[in-house]
Amino acid sequence: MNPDQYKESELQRVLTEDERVSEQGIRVSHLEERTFALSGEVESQKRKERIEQVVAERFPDLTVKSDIGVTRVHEPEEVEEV
Amino acid sequence: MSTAQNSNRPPNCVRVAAVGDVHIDEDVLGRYRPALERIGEKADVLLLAGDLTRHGTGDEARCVATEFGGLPVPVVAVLGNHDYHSDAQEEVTKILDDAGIIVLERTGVVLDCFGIRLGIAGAKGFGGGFAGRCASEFGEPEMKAFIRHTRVVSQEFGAALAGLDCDMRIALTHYAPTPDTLLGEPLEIYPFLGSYLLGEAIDAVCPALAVHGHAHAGTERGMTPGGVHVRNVAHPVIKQAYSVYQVAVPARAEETEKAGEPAGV
Repeated sequence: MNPDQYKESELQRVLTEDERVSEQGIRVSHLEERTFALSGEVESQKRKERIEQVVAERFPDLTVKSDIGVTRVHEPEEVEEV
Repeated sequence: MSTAQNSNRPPNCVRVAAVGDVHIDEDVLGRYRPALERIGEKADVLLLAGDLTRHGTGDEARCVATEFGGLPVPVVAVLGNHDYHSDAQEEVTKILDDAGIIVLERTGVVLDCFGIRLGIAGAKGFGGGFAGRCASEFGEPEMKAFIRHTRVVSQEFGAALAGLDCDMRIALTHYAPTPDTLLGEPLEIYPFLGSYLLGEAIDAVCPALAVHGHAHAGTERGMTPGGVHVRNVAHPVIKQAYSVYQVAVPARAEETEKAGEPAGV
């Protein structure tokens, strides 16, 4: 395992275990040396920004690109017959 | 308990609204409410498939109660792993109960939906994996405790499901009872997303529908090995405030009712 893989694991744990984040649905991808991407969805813009802030604070030596979205909450228009 | 009037509902059917993993806290308060105002026109019951909060605190539970309380349809919930994080699950349950939200944990409830007795059994469930790739109750105490918990929860959940005196059953869990609805998640984490033991408990009774959450990157539709329809309603999967499933009363229940016998599976 190279050091970037350790960083990837550490990032994944911080996203869940840092109480300011507590997200299990964010995926971490390794793009290139010292560079990672975050993807997935959260419940508010504030949470998306908080994740980016916490990651920047905890991993100042890494480049982390965020592609996190906010899940929509519109009324359903269709009914599925099961 | 009776459901509110819903002029759009066809006969011999129940319309089930469901969403999971809403992770409510102050910053989300009010976000779902506009989509919930007309839920009485679209559904007969709302199921919440766990992970209602972020950290399982009383304050977050009060936000859930504000967001999902006082609706024109009954709201039935199970807790998820996030709702246990602060070891305050009893307080969380009480706050939701006080707001009129029915919280199930290896228990069931029967609702009267326009003469149809809708039975819902619920449990958080737990992990362990699926056929061919499941963990066993063997080795270290921690490993044995992990799988023992899933086994006991599944047995008691199955008993609650079987014990419902109703025309139609629905199984509600947080963890997944089938790998079908995990498609999109990394294979390596399947054992943390659900267990075949939940599926086995469901297949022993064959409810009309099984609903779960937890797998944010999974797939909405699947089946248990026994052919029960399963829906993963994790919010990031359904990408709307809730999904609605129209479920017909099983023919067998209709037949037994016509014959003047108690309905059952």
